[in-house]
Amino acid sequence: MKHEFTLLLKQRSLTLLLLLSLVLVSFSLLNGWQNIRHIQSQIQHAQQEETMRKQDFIQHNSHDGTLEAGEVGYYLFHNVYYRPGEWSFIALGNRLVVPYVQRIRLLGLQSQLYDGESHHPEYVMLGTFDYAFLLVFFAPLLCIALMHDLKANEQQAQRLLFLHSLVKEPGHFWFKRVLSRWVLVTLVFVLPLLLFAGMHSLSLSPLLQILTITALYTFLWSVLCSAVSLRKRALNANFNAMLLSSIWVMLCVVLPNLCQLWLHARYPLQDGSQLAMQHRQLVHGAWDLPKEDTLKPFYALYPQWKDTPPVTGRFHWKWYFAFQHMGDVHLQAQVAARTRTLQMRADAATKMGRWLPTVWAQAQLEAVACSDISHLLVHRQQIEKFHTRLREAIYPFLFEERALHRKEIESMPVFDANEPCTQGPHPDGNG
Amino acid sequence: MNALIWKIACNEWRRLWHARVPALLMIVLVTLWGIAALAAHHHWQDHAQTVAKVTARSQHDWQSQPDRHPHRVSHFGDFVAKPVHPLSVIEPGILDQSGHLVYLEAHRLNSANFNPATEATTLGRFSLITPAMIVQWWMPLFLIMIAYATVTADKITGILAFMRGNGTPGWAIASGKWLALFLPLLLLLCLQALLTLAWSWHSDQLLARLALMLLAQALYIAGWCLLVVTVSWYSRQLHSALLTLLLCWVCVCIIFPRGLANLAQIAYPTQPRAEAEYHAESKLQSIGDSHNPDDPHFQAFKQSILNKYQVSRIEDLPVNYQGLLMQEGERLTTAVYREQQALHDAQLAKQNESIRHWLWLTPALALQYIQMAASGNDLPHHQAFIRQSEARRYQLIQYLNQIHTYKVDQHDDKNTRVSADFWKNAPRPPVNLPPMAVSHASLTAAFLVLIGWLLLPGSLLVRVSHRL
Repeated sequence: MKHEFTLLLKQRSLTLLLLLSLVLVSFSLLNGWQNIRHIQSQIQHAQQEETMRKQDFIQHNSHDGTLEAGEVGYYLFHNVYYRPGEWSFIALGNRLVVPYVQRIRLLGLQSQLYDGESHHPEYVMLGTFDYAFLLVFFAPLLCIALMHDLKANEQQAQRLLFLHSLVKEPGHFWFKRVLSRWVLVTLVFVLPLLLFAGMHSLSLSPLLQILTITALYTFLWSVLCSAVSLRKRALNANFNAMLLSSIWVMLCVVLPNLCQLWLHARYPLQDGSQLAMQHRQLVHGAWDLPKEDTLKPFYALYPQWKDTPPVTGRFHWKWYFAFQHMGDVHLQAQVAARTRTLQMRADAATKMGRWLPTVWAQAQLEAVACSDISHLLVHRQQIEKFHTRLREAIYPFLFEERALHRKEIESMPVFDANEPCTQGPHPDGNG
Repeated sequence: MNALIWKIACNEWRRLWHARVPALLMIVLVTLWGIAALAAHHHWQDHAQTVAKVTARSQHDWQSQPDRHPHRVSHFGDFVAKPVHPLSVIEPGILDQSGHLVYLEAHRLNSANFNPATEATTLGRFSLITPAMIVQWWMPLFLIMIAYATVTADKITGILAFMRGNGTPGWAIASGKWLALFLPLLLLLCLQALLTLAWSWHSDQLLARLALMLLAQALYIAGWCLLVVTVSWYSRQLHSALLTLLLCWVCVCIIFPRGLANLAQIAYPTQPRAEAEYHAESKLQSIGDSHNPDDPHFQAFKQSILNKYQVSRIEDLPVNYQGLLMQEGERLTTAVYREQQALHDAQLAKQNESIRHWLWLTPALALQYIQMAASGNDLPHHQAFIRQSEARRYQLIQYLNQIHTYKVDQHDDKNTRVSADFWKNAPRPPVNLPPMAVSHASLTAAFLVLIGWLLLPGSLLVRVSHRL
């Protein structure tokens, strides 16, 4: 083995290639880290501001030390955070597109849930430069470069027959060759990762998971490459290189794309815009309806407010918030169906990972990094829950027509920002 | 001399044909292209259907409004969908990332929402395969595989020395080889352009956009052909030629574009939207509160109105003061929101600028900029869409405020319902695809890079082919 390493590292172009890869991997880690750090600092900043802004709001809007519940519901925004986990920098996934700070108020949730983030769309389109990307796309290329000409190289140097006559067990000999190359490729990915984890003293179990994924993935490509380049008649290095790079193109680009096409055809998804337009129609149509039409079904859902003072005038906040909420209620079935479809798509994509190693590695890394669609759905559920808590906190004041005091606003629910990125119930476990 | 170049090119083709592998690779390339066209068409159709549905539905919802108070209509709002050019089939660009629907309402400037990228599965992380990507990534890759040996093999077998010894000038060999590689690919590009032309006949600004795209693609591929011949000429061994070329490909096509975009994002991070919205709102509070009778700005406004109509009380005005107040308020909020929008645009422009500084590293990204601009799916086109919809919003809301002012009796303001005919005739100018000139900055930079991309390997080739 030692001999193999010496032989390998003596080739200048190879050493250069490995060094370049090391730099790239380190850069990808740094880049991911920087991105997540930026998100975290923005969240922290927003959290600090939130309390101050609420104070400001109270100061501005209180009349004789009290506030009107309707105004609080309408004007007071609450932050919700899409908080990254400790290891999110490994695979940025959808974190670049999903807004990490969003503002929610008591109005209908469906008109607020899909706000976009003000990122640079071209940047998101080009894709992220993170560890997952390098591992999935670049590691196979490295394997191919190192292992496509195992036999052919010896043949070209006219050493092959000589070698075979020298070694007792050719199988053993080639195994050592492949193993040493696999170790090198894996080290290129593992070393910066270990260094990084050590520097920032990150937790261990995700690290082990990532190491396993990396080792397995590079191992798979090593096996593939050696299978091609150690065939009986594998004496043409160029043919091997072409065959292997076609496999790479198939696994990294063509098949995932075809799978995606199939997935979209198999699980069609209602566009979010349809929901938004229906929601508008429901909410704004309610202005023209008799108040009974809104309040009756609302009180049927929330009988505890049935016997509160009736709405007699032209306008009352309780009627306004009731029809805002009823818009959400009417769309509930459609929203749930959408969520189900998204989850089914995610499940199907994970299942495809059993057959496509590239998809498998990406999906596993995103699961560790908590940045796939399942986590987004969990996040949306949390927003929904928070919105419900908010309504429950304000409704008593709204329906019993009591004014809010400063103290009561200060004790209103805050989005549970300290919730760590939960290792969501990933449907397919570890494949 | 032309005959000589042709002869060299023909010989090269003969050799490629006999080697079998190149012909096979060409077939694979065309198959890939077919898959890409299929996928891209599916993708485009999805978007086009969404846009059509949204436009139809929003039109229907708007027209079927009953008699209402104008201010209620301005809160009812309007939906605008981003138009999609048929050339998106070739390059969808930021279609998935930018959001395709804007909600236009009074006192607020909303962002474009609903980008499918948010809800993409793991599979969405793999680059979308499109005809543009075939040209940008796969054509060069296959070209490398077909032709990395083109001169090196002649060198190894001694044919090159033989030809030079017979008096064949180096530049003739170089141009012959280059022509042999470039012509078939150019043919493919032209074929793609012709098919697209036939398919999207009659669509807006088609010829100019398609011509620009074809020109850029031809330049890009010509540059790669030059590079392949040059590297092949410099190399002494087959595998070193292949390795060098593959390394160039990985850097130019995969690593640099992503790396540059990421660096720009880190160097000039954008302000989160929630933050920007908050700033706009707090600024609005400081400007003036139209509900507060003691607010100095609106006090002065009221006085100017009273002076204009020569009355002493707003009750005596011949028009509805509430409507006037709404107009003034809308003017102020719009100014603030537009300022915020301009700030955001400036941030993005700064990122773009920093990418453009390093664009020469990656002609692939330069080509992508041109293709995105040509298909109407780059950032400037998106920003133009946002501007157009914002102009429509302002026009619409002010129209409604005028109806509020002149058609609603101010003594019975809240109970008045205005005839639905007014909404049916409201100004809602269609949102069109802007001219390509909106992205002139990235177009210029990208074309300069592509020309440099021709010059650099070209001059190296001239140097090496003079060697004896």
